[in-house]
Amino acid sequence: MIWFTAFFFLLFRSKYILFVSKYFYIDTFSVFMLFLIPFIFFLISEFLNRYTNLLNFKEIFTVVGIICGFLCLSFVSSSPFLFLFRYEICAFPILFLIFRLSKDLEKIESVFFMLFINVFGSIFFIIFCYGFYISDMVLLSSFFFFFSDLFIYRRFFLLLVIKFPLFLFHSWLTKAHVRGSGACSIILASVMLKLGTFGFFKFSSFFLIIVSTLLSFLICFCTLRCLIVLLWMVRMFDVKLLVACSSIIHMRCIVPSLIFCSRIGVVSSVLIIIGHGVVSYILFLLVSVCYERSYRRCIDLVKRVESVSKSLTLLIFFFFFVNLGVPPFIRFISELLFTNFFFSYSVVGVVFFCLSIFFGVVYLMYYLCYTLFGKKNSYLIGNLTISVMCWSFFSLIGFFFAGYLGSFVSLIKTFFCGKNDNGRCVNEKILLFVRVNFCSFFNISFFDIFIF
Amino acid sequence: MLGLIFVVSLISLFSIYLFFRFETLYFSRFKEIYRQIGYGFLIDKTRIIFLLTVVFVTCLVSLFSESYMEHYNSKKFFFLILSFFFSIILLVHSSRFLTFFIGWDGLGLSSICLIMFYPNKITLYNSFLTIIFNRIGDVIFIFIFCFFLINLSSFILILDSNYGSIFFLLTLLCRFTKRAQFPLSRWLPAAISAPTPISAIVHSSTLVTAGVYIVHKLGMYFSAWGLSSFFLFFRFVTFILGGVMANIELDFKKIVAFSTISQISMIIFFCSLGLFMVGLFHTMLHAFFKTLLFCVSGVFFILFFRDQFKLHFFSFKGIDFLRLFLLLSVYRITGLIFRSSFATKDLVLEFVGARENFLYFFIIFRRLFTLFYCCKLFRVIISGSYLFSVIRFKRFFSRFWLIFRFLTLLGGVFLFKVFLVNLYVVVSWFDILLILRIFSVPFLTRVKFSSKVFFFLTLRISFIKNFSFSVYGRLMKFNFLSSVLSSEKFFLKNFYIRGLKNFFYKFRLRMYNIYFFLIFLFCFF
Repeated sequence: MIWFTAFFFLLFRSKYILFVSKYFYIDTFSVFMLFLIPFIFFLISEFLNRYTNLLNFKEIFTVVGIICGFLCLSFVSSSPFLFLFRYEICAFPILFLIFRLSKDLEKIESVFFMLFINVFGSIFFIIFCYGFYISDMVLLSSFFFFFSDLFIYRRFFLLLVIKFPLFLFHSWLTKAHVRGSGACSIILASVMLKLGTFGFFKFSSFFLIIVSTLLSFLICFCTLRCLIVLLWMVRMFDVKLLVACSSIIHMRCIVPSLIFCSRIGVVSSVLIIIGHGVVSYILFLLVSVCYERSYRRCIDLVKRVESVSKSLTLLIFFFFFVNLGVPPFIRFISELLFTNFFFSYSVVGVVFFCLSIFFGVVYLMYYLCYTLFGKKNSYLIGNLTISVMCWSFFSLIGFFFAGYLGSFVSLIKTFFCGKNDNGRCVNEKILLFVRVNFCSFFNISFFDIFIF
Repeated sequence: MLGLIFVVSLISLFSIYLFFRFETLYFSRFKEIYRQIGYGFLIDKTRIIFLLTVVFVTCLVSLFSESYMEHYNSKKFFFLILSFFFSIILLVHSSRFLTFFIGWDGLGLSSICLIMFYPNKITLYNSFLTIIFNRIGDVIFIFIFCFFLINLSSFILILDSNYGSIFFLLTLLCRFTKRAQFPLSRWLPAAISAPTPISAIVHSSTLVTAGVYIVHKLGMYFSAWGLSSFFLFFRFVTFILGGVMANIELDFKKIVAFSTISQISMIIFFCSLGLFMVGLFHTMLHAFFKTLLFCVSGVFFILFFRDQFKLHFFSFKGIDFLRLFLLLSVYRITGLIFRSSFATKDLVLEFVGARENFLYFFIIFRRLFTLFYCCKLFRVIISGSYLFSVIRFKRFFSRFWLIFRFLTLLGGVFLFKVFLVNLYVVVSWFDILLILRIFSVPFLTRVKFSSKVFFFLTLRISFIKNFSFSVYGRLMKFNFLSSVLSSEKFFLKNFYIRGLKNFFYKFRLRMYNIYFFLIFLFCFF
């Protein structure tokens, strides 16, 4: 993972435009993304080599090749419409793969759900592309257009909200992961999410004004959603769903940093993408290995991997922890950078984010002990996880509400005593500080973005 | 492999004479705005001392565990121990945040793997607890990093006083997690469920060094924000917790765990007074005698076919040699006269007695608590009747013993050079002679072990008396104060001219130790 440091120089520079034509626009960032694709292609083909039959392999290989090819093309697209076109072409092969390879009964449902939700998003994106007389060469002159209209941003945003699973429209991804086989989920995880981030980054310079007003809403929504999903994950029983949700959580965390066009934000998000592409691949691989061996994915039934094979336990343990953030790997550094960015916005939000980091470990230990060591040995942990998470989460919220207590107390004082206390002690200052940040953090005045 | 480590440690011994810092930096990025966030290493005098302790302890324990753990998966065990070892080294020798954090996280991960070495429900639960508390520390550390982007070698605080106190609190919270101060010390007794050699390493040296290292780094800011009394409260509470629980507990290893908590709080108290080198010295000593304790207790667990959790006052029957070592280790903890931890504790007592009143009593209460649980352990040792039993000592144990004694002897020379403590060499030689004469060589064969112990102790006390109240006492230089006090004119003046009353008035600090020992003796009758 350290070998990508060479390509970071590309990010640090401003955008050097390398090649432009009617259909291609190659930038340093796109070059960077292009470098990643062959690596992923190699990984996927390795996986397929082991876990599919020879008969299937050729057609699946071609399909994967088509996906990767159109991905590369989408990274070098010169206009939004071309971007969408190539982007959407990638979706259909994946649907085909899910349909072909998975053995689940409900695969048709997941396929159709994915299809229709993507089409729903892309319709609005087409309106964004051609509804306002945007020329084909718009990306060249990206710094001179500042759209200050929410409606336009909404259309653009919706697609990426769907593709790059943000808050409301992520269930297609979870369903696809669960219903699809190992190969499909790997391809989805390592390939598709990159497109979303690329789209955000490319078009972020248009929308700086809107984004600066939206940022509070997004940040609060994302972090709280992370925490809620973490709490929900403790009660899940499918291992694959776990991995999918962990990837979703990490993606969500980095959205605010990506939109805001600061250097740290971009770097942290790109690092997460790289890390995610590799780590989730490994995780899905491990999960599929367990699935192949024991024909079951339920937590209660995948018993005692530790006694079956020690090397597998080591890998599972290690990579699940790497997923959460272990230095010197990429995930940790990206988390650090993201917290730096986040801190510049609000102190309080960082606390919530750190809480989510902490919770990640809690639920992870719960699951690892269940899978590796069996239900009999790890039933003591279950109660403790819930208690720890609920206790810490709600105590923090209570702590922030204490900021309001100070004002409430002063109100009562003025009401009953009839005096103005101008001199404030240190405690009240701290509480005021907390209250101010709390209000800015939970500013949800822009919730009407999706009202049509 | 072990030989290599030994060589490294010996080299580090001789490189104590470094008076400069040797710093390297790799992979530095983000040069423009932020300071160099890279990977860096730093070799310094104090860090080498940490390295020494860690290296010696791991070597000894790995020797011990060659035969202690022979029926278990040695590959996994040694892999985990090595990962633990390297993470500690990274932590101590880091000059930048990233390497430090690699070590920190590596410690957490490897410690939970080690605790889960025998997977059953208790060990899993305990490992879960440890990782929770470790993670709290991690998260707070990330938060702090975002505050400041500290360059660890230079410590420049950028922001103003509003944030400063919060930062300070948070750093202390981190430290609280790693070294088990009051609210976040639950994990240390839980970490007992690891195998004995692992708990020997973990509890004795490595986790303590992490906390002490941080304290050293931020020592200059310790009194800056005026919150020192607040943390003194926490230290006091941890100490009382350790002492009280050690007295109540029946499980042998838990007693030792609580003793580590109290010792750690003591070390940090030393650091807070500004006596960082004393604290370092005490960590070294603590490391060695704790490992000894644990290893000996491990041997006992094996020989009596007992589970490590369920020990009550069973009678140690017949293995004098091992009981002796247990005795020595326990004796060291107490800080009685001319035992290893005496040098530090007495020094601090003098230092504190000159300044403030309540802290003085604080330390005395501490000593009392330590003595009480040491009495408890002693009782366990001595209460067995003497039954003859043949035990074949394996080669590892003789090696272990030899290395340990070598270490303690060599430690005297080392300590003189670094810490200017002169006494240890002489006393330890005398100690060995006594031990050989009384215990190993057949002498008084029909006498009970307990009586042999008392004979040994009385001989030592007489030796001590000879030293302290005579002209030779001035050779024992603990620090400037004691050298002044023990200089000839003071001695002679007080002893001959003023009379017994003034003699006691001057030396009441030293006499307290003798009083404690008398109390201690009464426990047996």
